[in-house]
Amino acid sequence: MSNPTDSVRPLTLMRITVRNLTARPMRTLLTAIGVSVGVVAIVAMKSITDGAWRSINNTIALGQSELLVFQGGVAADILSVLDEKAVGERLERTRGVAKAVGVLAHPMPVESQPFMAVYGVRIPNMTLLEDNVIEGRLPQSDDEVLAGAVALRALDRKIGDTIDLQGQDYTLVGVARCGAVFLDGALFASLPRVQEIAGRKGQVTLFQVVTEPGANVGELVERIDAENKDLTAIADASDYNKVDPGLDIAQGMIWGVSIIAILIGALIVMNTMWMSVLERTRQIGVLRAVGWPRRAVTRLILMESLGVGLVSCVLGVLGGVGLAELVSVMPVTKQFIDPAFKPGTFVIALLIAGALSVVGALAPAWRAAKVSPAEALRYE
Amino acid sequence: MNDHMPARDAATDTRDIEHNRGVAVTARDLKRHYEDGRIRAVDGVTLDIRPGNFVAICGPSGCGKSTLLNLLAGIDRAESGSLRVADRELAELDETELDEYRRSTVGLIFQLHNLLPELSALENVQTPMLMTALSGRERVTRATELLERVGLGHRLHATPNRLSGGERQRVAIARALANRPRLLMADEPTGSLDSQTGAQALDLLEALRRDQGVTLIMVTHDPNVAARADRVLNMLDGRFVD
Ligand SMILES: Nc1ncnc2c1ncn2[C@@H]1O[C@H](COP(=O)(O)OP(=O)(O)OP(=O)(O)O)[C@@H](O)[C@H]1O
Ligand SMILES: [Mg+2]
Repeated sequence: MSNPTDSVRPLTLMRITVRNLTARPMRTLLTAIGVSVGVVAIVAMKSITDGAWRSINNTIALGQSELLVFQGGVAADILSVLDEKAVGERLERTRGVAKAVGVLAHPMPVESQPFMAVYGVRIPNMTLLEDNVIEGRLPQSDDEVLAGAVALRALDRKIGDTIDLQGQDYTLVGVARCGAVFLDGALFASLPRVQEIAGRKGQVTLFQVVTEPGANVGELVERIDAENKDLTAIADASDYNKVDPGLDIAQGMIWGVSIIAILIGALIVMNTMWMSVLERTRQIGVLRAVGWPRRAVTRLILMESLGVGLVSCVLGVLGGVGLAELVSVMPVTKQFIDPAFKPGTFVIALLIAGALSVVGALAPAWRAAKVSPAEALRYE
Repeated sequence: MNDHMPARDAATDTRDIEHNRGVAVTARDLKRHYEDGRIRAVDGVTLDIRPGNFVAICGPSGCGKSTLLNLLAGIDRAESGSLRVADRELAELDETELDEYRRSTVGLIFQLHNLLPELSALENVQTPMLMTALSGRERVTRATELLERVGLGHRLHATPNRLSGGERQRVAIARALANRPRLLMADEPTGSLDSQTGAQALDLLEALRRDQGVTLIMVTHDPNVAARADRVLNMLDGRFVD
């Protein structure tokens, strides 16, 4: 007979940890679920913010465009108002600028949708979207519109159908996918028509700027800002806070929620681990009596806590991804939210779960290390 | 045979039968009081135990037997007096050394088995070995051998709640032997067992003592157990009496 012990896995601290956690599955799970709520919030918020970030960068890089120009000093991007002709000409005279395409953003109800972005772009300038057309073609007259892929589904239309904008029919001639949720959830129509609907004759919200070959984008941003006190140029999502504080606010909220998640998670873990140590005082005493040093007991408690943290991290990531996906398919929010799931987000989730596990384990581990074997063995 | 292996302490030596491994135990005026001296649990114990002896400690409940055993086992410290085991003065050991003393010199068997309920018999026996240099495979092999020796070779993977009282106590005995102790101590090891299983556990401890020559100190209420000892020490109010 071969040695039957060959196949038996030896006892390790890790194994004891797993046994302890699985011996009380409900407690482990409930604790992990409690802790995971914070992780869910962080993963969802971070992914949504990262998605917005990606959308902004894809908007900046639409077609040949390399930067966006807004009115300076606005509290929100949508509040930017620029004179199409005057500002457009001024921009095109700036060294390094090949072309400035004025775009008017006008959120409005469209048919079944209570709220949809409609972008006004002059018909010849629609070529900016040329590379993004996935079906049909670009509008060639004022009576034709292009729909973002998300908007198309929201409106439940297909190419050749008509779409009603404020009592006037437009023919849907093409579908575009831009990788930017604001654009994919929007309609693109003739600029003069949108100006008329919005009551904003001659005005645009922003310019998409195509640079001359070889132009240094960083220098161009600085030049535009310096030469035009009334304008702000943006070449990267990290500068978007110049026209909209939304991303900065979200970033701050993520920090805040992270801290709260760590504190609450640590308290939940602490509660569970503290109870667990009290319950097992006698067993801890026995381990000390057979020669385990204090630090081995401490390590065991820490590992159990990290085990709970790991389970909550997995639940939190699944929940967070699920939540972000859910809001990205819900009727109104899907036009504004398109989460990006970055590896960094999962690293953050793991770090937060690890941090709260360690913080939560400190007091229980200290309590376990303090167990006197002689006392513990007396207690029934 | 393993001369290329690093040097190992006695606890990790895997040879099994070895005679005269027992330690001498010497106590002089050992005291352990509780509640500011109002309870004199151990109150001036003087004691000389020769290596390999089997000593029974008897006495009424509350006379200080367990307290004394805890002092000998290094899980509690005396207030005053001298306690030497294997020529080491326990009072002079720091915490790490005392951990090591408990781990490698002492084997302890409690009145209740005190096994970890989440772990199998085989794993429970390995718990004291975790803190030694033994490899995982060596731990499993040794724990298996020990369980076979206490007659539980067929119950290696059972958790304590699936074992009978006598079987649990035998697992506890195997655990006490995990690191090849030279001083085996038992606090009423048969107290929770019926007379027949109690007698079996006792036979086992005696056989181990005989085979390995370890020193055996046993607290017991049972005159039949005491009759098998080399010496019987009677305790009353924290001291030995004649
Ligand atoms: N931690 C403690 N605090 C206060 N008093 C204690 C403590 N431990 C033991 N004692 C007291 O010390 C005395 C001796 O206790 P010990 O447990 O050693 O008795 P014992 O001889 O083992 O009794 P039994 O046969 O019932 O197990 C008892 O009066 C007990 O109440
Ligand atoms: Mg006792």
